[in-house]
Amino acid sequence: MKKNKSQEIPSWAKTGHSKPVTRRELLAHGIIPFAGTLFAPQMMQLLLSSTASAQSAAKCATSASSFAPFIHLNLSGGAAMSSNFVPMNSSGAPLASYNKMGLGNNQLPIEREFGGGTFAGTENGALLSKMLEGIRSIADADTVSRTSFIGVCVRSRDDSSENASNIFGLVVKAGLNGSHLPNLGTRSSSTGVNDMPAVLLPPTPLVVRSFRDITNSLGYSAAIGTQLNEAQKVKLANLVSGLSQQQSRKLASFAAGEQLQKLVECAGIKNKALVEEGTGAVNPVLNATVGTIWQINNNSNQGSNDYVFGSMVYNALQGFAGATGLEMGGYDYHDNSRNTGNTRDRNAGVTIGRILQTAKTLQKPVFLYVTSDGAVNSPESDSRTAPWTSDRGSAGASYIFMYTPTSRPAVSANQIGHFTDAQVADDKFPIGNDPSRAAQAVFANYLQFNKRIGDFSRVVGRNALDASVLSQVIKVA
Amino acid sequence: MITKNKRLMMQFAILIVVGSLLSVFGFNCSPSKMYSLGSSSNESSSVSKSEDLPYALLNADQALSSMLNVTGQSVSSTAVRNEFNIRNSAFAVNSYLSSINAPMLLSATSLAGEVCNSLVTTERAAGATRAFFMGVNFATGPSTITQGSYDAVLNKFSQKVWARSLLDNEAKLFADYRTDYLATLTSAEQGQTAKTSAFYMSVCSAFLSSFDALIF
Repeated sequence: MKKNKSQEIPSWAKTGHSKPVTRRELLAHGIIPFAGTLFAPQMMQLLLSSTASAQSAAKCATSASSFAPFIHLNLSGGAAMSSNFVPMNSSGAPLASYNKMGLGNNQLPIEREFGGGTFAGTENGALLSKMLEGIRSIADADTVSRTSFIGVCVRSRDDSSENASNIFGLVVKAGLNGSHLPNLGTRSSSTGVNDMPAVLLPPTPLVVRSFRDITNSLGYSAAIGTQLNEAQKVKLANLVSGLSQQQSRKLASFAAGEQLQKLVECAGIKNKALVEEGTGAVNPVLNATVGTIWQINNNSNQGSNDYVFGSMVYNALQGFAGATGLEMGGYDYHDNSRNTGNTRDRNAGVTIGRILQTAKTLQKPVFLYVTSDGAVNSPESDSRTAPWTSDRGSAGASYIFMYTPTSRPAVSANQIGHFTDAQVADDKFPIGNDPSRAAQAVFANYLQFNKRIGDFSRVVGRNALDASVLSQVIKVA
Repeated sequence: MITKNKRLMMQFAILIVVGSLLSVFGFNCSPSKMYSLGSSSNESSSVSKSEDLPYALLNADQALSSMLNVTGQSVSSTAVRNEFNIRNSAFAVNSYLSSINAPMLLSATSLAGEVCNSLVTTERAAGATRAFFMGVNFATGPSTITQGSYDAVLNKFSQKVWARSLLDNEAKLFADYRTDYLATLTSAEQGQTAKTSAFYMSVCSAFLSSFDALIF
């Protein structure tokens, strides 16, 4: 049903009120009661199992969640994920050739890392996998020794923001929430990065374009910031919270109204706490080692990519923020050379390395999910440095990295799904042709990482992967 | 007689048919609320994208427009635009009430503060032509704020922003806020005119950033 916000109401002037132009005002005037009474309860019933319930798990969290921090790195444009991590066939053996994947024939040197992950190895003294090279340039041997890797073989649409690979909604519904901040993202989209949600729409992320966006979200600025003292700011937050709580009671008459009402209530309560607490804890440069990892300090530009990513990762790992999405652009790099791709891949590796090294510095576990939209193609060539010439989403892949401070998380295999000798992700494998189902597989491993796999069906709901598929895709021991 | 009865029955049948059609096509049978977002034909995922409630959340642009409109400001000041630029990323990108979170409400209040600061500045100089702060004496400190002038301001904002009268429990919250605000001031501050302006700026901000002001 189309929302009609421009109906002319001839009787409004008689009421003494201003002209009703909004749906709320129209309702108040009894103009559109049917839509509200007949339609809304049914829709609220749907919401019960989706968006609202994704947030209801958050309750009024004032402390860090018991779930491991979840970070999603999105390489926007179609990175050569399956030419850095080297996918194997259904028997776990190398493919007959990798000559469409820019890696030449099947005598490809393999570098095993993170407990068995297969990466394009060394030739002529240079590591072919520039992502691994970038990771190693930052993450020290101890960090690597406590990190596991799983490559996920899944096709995805090239150069598209419509791959449903994002699991923030599921992760939030499972129970991950930030003590100070909501989910974080770097793009104004429903997920905060260049993709779409798998199964559940996540709560709106806070879009971080500068560290200032984080500090702003924890306090008042401008007129309120300068004209009210700290005590008055808290009183004002209390007033707004109280008003919003009372006004949201009207939602109680709907099926999921209690949940939404709770949401508004929690937002207000949290606001008061945030204003009281201030912004001291969220700055990554407070930890000198973290500052060094991200090459930032008190004099750095707070809008720089390093400061933005560093602060987002720091707050995610500390439990201050919920699920956190970082997007790196420029991965549609098939420019008939290998140089651009290699540079970008290395940059991605550096970011991955920084995330893992920050986790080690803070002694926090982390579950890192790396995705892209599509992949790239090389001319058929025995050269292991053949240029990237076009898109090739059929050779797509995503990654899982898991770090724990104590020891490397155990995995039963380093790959989910497989490639065929056509050098493509096998679309016959249950998740091989569907980013959304592959995302569910990643979520299942996240739950298993947290020893909560029993929650899978409850969280995912009616579209959940069945037990036989789960047994094929859960690799975390 | 028989003819008359037939006509009545025909009219009754037509009424039932028309009513049924209205019910089916107008209200109850909306388009599917679950639709696939799959990127390829065989993608089976679906995401609930609908929140067809009688209420929806304003996005950043709508919130700012609403704040300016209800306070009678046709253009935003540089200060308002600056505050909007640093706050808009905290607002929802969709209209779902379930997108509400703490930073969003906090940003709304902060943005409202700057809008209200412009309003107070304008009205302070307007004298008899004030729209919101008719009985307020901005030339004295907050200790001289009378109950009558405060109530008049609250009622005016309630009508302009919420399009309804102030409810008793809301009036109680504002009364408590006034008491609390005064309690945070030193005796010297209670006589400062700037504190009166700041007080009314904050009261206005509360109206503009409360739940009812952020939904439509």
